[in-house]
Amino acid sequence: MTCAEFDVIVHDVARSDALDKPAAVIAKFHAQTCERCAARLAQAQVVAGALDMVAQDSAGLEASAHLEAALVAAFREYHRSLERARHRISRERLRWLEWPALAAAAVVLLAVGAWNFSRPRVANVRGNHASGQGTALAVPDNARNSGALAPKANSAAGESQNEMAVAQSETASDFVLVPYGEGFEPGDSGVIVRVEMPRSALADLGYSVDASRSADLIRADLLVGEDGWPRAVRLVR
Amino acid sequence: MPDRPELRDEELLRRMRAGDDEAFRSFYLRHQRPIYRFALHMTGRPEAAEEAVQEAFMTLIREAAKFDPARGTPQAFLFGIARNHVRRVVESNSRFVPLADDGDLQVRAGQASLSYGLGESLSDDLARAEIIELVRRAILALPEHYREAVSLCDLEGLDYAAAASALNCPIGTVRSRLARGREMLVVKLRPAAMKKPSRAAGGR
Repeated sequence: MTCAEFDVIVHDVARSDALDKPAAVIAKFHAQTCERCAARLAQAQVVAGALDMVAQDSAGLEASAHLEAALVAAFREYHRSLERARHRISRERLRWLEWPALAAAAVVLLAVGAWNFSRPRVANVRGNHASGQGTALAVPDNARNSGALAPKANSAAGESQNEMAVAQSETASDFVLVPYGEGFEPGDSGVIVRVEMPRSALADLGYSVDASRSADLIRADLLVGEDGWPRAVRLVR
Repeated sequence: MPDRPELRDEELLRRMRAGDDEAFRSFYLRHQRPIYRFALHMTGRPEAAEEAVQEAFMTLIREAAKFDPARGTPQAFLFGIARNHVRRVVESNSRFVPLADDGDLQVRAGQASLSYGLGESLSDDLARAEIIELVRRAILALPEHYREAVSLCDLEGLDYAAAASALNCPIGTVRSRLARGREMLVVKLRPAAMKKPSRAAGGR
């Protein structure tokens, strides 16, 4: 080993655990045969020892106790605020998910309300329906007389074949039960009301909706039970 | 609550991310001392060291989820934050560095013997305190890069890899900065290192 090589590792030699054993042995052997390097090693050992002394003396130093309390409080507050933010986001997300259903329900209720407003009572589809004319959601004549158009509702008896044929030619789908409704059993009575509603409300009925046309108004027939609540809907061309 | 040695840092961090404040407290108790000491060695000011600890752990609170174990240990992550804070403190107030110039240190070193505690030692606490103070001042007088390496490796006992992670530099850079810093300390402390231990070292 040369003195230049010794200089590179002298501080590691001074810290015996910082050098692999063969290298340390070779370096120490060199120091035994070289006065200059022996002096260098002695100085390095003294400085290493002095640094150890400082490290030992500093071992008990730490931040003040009040900092610990303040940081723990900050930790709790940060996670509380995160939790609040999560709740707020989930509430908003839920609101967005509910919107189509609420919109559909609002349209349905509006239609039913308009229809009920124009009728003194809920009529059986077998009977003659009161006129829906004069309301915002006027029921066309063919629909008012088309109790026979409810294929799943089994409320079609007593209507003329001509009227049924006209109405059937206008429909674009079968009746689909309204979500969250009470359903419609064979033998139940009801009336069919033709309404206009936003296309976006179809999403709630299981149809795919083109977002660019979600604001368009479409026509549909509502099958309304005797209690005044809509039970099913079908599309009209 | 005492530190929970049975839990590794990674597990404590996982619990912290879930909002477990006891995990945070354990993590804090485990790591605050090295961070505090490092900042103290770097600035020489207890209040600056305390600020560095606060900064490091506040950053950890906010960014625990961003910690990437592949880039180093949680302790190296904390050292890195503390180091950035220390740098800002040092840059914003030049009175922190250097606390002693070489001439002042040489005079002081000439009055003390660093051989204390290394064999034929004095048994005088005053001498020990004086020597420790002398070495601390010598460390503070080192250029910042060298001071960082000496503080992390020689005073906090980090290995080269951990120090490199904390300092965000290659291991070879740490090694060379450390060697250079140690060499500068030898020069600064040479008068004391060369002096034979004596009772005069204790100032008496």
